[in-house]
Amino acid sequence: MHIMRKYIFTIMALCCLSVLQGQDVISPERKQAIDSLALEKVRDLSRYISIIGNKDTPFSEANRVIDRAEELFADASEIGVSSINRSDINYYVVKEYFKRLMALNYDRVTIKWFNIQYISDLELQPDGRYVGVITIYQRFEGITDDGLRYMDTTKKDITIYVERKQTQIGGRLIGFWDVMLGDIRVTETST
Amino acid sequence: MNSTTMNKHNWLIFCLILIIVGAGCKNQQKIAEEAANVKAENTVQAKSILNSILNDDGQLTTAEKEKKLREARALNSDDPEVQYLISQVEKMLDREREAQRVAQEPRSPDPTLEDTLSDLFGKIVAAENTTAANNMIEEGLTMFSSPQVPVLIIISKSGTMKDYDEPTTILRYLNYLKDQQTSPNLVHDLVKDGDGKINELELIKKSNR
Repeated sequence: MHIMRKYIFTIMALCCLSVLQGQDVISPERKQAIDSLALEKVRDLSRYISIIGNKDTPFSEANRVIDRAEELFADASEIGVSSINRSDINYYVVKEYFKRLMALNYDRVTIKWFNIQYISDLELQPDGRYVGVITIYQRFEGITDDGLRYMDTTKKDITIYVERKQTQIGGRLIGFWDVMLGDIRVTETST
Repeated sequence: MNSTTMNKHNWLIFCLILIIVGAGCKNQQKIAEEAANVKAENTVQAKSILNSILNDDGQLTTAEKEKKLREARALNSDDPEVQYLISQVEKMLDREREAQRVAQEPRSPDPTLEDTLSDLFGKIVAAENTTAANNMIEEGLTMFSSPQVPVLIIISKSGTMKDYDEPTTILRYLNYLKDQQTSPNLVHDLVKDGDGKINELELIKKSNR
């Protein structure tokens, strides 16, 4: 029984060691660079959403931008849509959200994101990924030619996943930080 | 002094305290109202200043716009619209500074490929419209072996240790500059093929330089 305990302890210690070795211990400077990279991806998305929503954007450009924007997200991620005229929030998979955004029934659409910041820092998870939450405020304004005008401001929380990956470039193995956006949840809607 | 006189005195003191406390509350209310009025006035003023910068039709120089932005900031408004307008003005100023930098950069008689690339990035960012940017992209791609040339972006560097963003291609990167209207990276290294065309490009975040 005593020998058995010894074996179990050794196996557990080895398991812990292998988990620790699998996780990259990174310096505060590198962590800061990763934090900034994730914020930059959210700002990129903000600009893409603005371009897709803009009625002056040519159809082919909007579709190209939709592809770029979609690539920022993890598979099956959803984006919430709210309105000051109803209490429920509808969630759409990313592609559908962008298609609906492009087809909005207004003649002029302006979408701006502001106050983009972390509300939950990127933290290392047991699976080796970093997970955090960035919050943004979105100002939406849609106007029709016959004078109908809708405006709202929504607060949204975006889950961020950062993972270390590798790829082959010119025969070399390059390690990189893959930032993926997850669900975008609406937390507040106001006029 | 009998107890009736004492009670009268106590009542008088009590009434006096009530009057003083009441006046204090009123004063505080008045101060709060005044503060709210000042805040609202500052917000209106800040919006007006910021909109005057954003709607400028070429009358203001970049330095004048920067001065006005400082004035708007000094009003300390935390109104979300003011914050948003400030971010728009900052973007506008970034674009203007970038365009000025590209325009004023001294041209060497034989510019290096790195300089030419940096110029290209700046011009795409400052392009007047999508068509102009697309033309620059098409022209810029002739410097590369193919539109699929890999682009690596260093986000952090310490000694020989480099952290990269997800690799992309030159076609995607140039379109990225067009979409984002900002150029966050500098040329760090490039590899040329036998024809002198770039077949690998390494960029670095400006914040890391």
